[in-house]
Amino acid sequence: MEFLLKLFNDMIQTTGLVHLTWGNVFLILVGIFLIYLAIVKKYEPFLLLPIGFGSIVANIPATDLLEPGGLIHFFYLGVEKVIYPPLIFLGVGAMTDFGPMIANPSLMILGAFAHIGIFIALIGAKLLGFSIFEAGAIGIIGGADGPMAIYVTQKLAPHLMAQISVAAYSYMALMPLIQPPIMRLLTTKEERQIMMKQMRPVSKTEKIAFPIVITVLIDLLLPPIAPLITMLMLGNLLKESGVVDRLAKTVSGEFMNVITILLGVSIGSTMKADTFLTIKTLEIVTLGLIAFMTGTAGGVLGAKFLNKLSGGKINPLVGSAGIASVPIAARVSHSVAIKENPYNFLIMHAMGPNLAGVFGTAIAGGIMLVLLGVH
Amino acid sequence: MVPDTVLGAIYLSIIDMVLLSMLLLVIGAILSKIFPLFSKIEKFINKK
Repeated sequence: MEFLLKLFNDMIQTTGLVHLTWGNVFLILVGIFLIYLAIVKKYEPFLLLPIGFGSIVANIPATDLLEPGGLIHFFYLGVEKVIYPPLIFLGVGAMTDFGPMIANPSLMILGAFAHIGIFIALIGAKLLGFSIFEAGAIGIIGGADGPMAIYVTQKLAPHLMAQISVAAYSYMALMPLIQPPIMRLLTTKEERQIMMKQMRPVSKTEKIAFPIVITVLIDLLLPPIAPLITMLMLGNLLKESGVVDRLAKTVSGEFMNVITILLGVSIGSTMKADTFLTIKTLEIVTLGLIAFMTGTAGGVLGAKFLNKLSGGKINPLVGSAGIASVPIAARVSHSVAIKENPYNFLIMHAMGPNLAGVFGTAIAGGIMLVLLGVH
Repeated sequence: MVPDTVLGAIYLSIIDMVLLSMLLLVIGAILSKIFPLFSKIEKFINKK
């Protein structure tokens, strides 16, 4: 009998039940909540669903999935070795039409205005006692660009990967909730109703030249972000060349889906109770929200300024799209505009600043790495 | 190297923002001045 009891006790000890903490339970519930947001609210389900599931798995003790040699540990190597972000950019490039940005380059500066949030969060983080490297990584949350946030964080403060990546992706998913109130607060009804004139057509030659010119220019000026820009532009060249449809379809389809699954689960798996439930996490999440809000405000105010300069031809709602996060931010601009005027299709006009925002985040991150002496 | 102080963070932010704006303006200038030429060349070649 004693033998059986010992055997039973030994068996219980191997289960996760005896090692489960309240922190684990809390983060499993957070994971379930993220899955709820993905399925019921449809907030970026491609990201939140694997992140939520990763969070659940990470908080089930004794599975060894995250230990060296475990399955998810191998997935995480793609984050640790900064392989996933450039591969995601390859797919994004193959999915993206840069035509709106080429057609209306005067709005590119909105990609800078909407990144003011990065620097406000950076200074805020420093005031809270984070190191300058940690502050830089926290600031980049304001770029609203998940792969870029992972890329910069891995270089500057890899120990904050969990907090920063979760904050960046969660806020990206919640942009349709965060941005509209700020956009309405900073604009008048008349401004929101401005209809922008149709953009000029962009030729095939321009679209093919674009990825080549940008790769040469940015890789020359900012080598630390070359992996991201090179892959983004390679994907775009595959798309625009029109001669390798099969490759373009692969990198923007199943290939990108595979990377998204691996990246999502890897990020979710960083939400382990012992490292995630800290005051630092709360500070980072708050700073991330401030970065998103101030970035949105900066973009809208910048667009208002351009609107005045242009004599009322620019709808200030396109400014918030400069925050990156393609195409979520452009969709938000469009949805706010269409509520004021059902005939105002702002999406293509907002795509210009939105795409400029992608470059804006990459360039801001690249300059930060150079100034901090990290390569 | 940027000093690890609040002042350092402010310097970093200002320099980064200025350089970011300049680089985006340069890209914008290339797109608005040089890229339309590609269309003209394409039209010229197509006519021939």
